[in-house]
Amino acid sequence: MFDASTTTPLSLDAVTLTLPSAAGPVEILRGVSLTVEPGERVAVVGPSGSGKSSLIAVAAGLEQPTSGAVRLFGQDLGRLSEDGRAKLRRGKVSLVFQSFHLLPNMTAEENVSAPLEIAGRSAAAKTAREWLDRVGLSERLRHYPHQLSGGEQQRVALARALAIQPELLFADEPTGNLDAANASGVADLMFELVAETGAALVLVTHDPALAARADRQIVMGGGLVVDPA
Amino acid sequence: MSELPLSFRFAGRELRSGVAGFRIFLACLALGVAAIAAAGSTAEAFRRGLASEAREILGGDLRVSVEGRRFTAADRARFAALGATAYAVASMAMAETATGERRLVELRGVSGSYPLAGTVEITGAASLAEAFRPVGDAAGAAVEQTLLDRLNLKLGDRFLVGEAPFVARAVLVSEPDRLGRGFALGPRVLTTVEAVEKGGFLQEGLPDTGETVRIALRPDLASNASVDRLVKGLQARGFSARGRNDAAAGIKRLIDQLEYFLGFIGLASLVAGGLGVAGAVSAYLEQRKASIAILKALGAEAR
Ligand SMILES: Nc1ncnc2c1ncn2[C@@H]1O[C@H](COP(=O)(O)OP(=O)(O)OP(=O)(O)O)[C@@H](O)[C@H]1O
Ligand SMILES: [Mg+2]
Repeated sequence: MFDASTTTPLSLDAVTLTLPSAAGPVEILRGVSLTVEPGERVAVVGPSGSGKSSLIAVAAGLEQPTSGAVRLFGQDLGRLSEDGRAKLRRGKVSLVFQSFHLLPNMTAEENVSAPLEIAGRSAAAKTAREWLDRVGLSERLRHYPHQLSGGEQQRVALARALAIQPELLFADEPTGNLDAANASGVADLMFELVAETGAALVLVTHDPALAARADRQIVMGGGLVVDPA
Repeated sequence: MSELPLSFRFAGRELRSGVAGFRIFLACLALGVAAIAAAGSTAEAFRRGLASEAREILGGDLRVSVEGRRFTAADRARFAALGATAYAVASMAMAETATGERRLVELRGVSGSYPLAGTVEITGAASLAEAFRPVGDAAGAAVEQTLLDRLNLKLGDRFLVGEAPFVARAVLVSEPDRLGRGFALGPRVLTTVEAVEKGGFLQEGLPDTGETVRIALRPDLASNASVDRLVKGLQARGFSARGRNDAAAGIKRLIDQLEYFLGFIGLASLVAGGLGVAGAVSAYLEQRKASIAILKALGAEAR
């Protein structure tokens, strides 16, 4: 249906997001435009509260923009239903969340195999085990998230995101909750696997060293991209 | 497992821990329902028992009493016109043995026709009449075993109640109207009205003095409506009267209270269980909502 090497994975055009709150509507994104090319690795930096996580939620179609257009692989998300957006993500877009978001009642292996099963991939369990092995968790296959340390959970989340070999990976501070040693291990693994699968990467991070490993950095501030202006 | 549709596979995994939290609350609900049901049926069983025993509990169809005096001859004539009568008098008194053992007793004297309903159970004598037969100057009496034990007496021994001599001729096991008379302060000594009179316990003006008559109504007066009418009429004349329809009002109240109490316990555990289930369900749904959001982010459709 698409040619991964030529279809632009992500483009945002003057996207705004205004959410209601007790104190009145909050303008969270105030006109963000951004294009990510196939295989491109973009780091998003900026102060806390500047809208980085919101940008990812809108870009991945988890949140609907108030105005503007979001295109994933050329498809206008505004024209798709919630299910339609889920279907578009399936097997192509992966997310690593700031706070892991593993399925609490599923083992590490089941967490990793879930998106594979959803995408209808064959030998999902076997693939899941291979990826957990790659992130160094072959001893933790049958463990539930609450039995894993934060670093281990983040590695499960990374294995889950990468096992389907996505064309586009969103990672929201994937190392934010980890100690330095774990953080660099997870970061290395992520860049290694992204390079291997040729996926495009949108990486939110506070860590300048990590951001520097991307092809390009954008700086958010107050719901806008402030650099490049 | 892998043959199952995706949604079932995921639902199965999701349910692994979800159900466990409900169990204690479901148990609470079950307990509450059981307690309420049990309260109702237990009380109902008691009530049915009471209704069928009502006549025995009261000791007849009607029970009429006066306080502070005895019945007059005119009273007695009126009662006799209604049916068979059995008179009873009672007094709290001190029992004492030759060796000086003392015990507060409930001295009760009954007329020869007692009991009109049910039977008095005694051991040691063939009949009440035999138990009441005097020995010399001492009146015969049926006494509770606890009194024999307490005063170190055996059947045939003499003892005093107040100044009056009695001889224990039988052990009193049960009286049919025991329940309807309520609480007793001491073991009972059952004898004749005459013996109680002779002992000087029934003088006009003594706070204890009073008399009760139980009446087994003539067949033509024995309908429920007639009982109620007679009770009203007697109450209007200043008697304290009770019919077999409301034999043991105190006990009925007790049963009602017991029912409320059990029902309340049931209700409380229902409320606790309900709140628990509501809490567990909302916690579970909250968790499910998070899981569903994650599954959607992984590309799963809602259906
Ligand atoms: N559901 C919401 N309703 C109202 N305001 C929200 C909501 N979600 C986020 N915000 C606000 O939007 C702003 C941007 O939030 P966002 O999470 O995108 O920031 P961030 O750049 O990811 O911050 P951090 O670096 O701390 O993760 C914040 O001021 C936040 O309070
Ligand atoms: Mg954030």
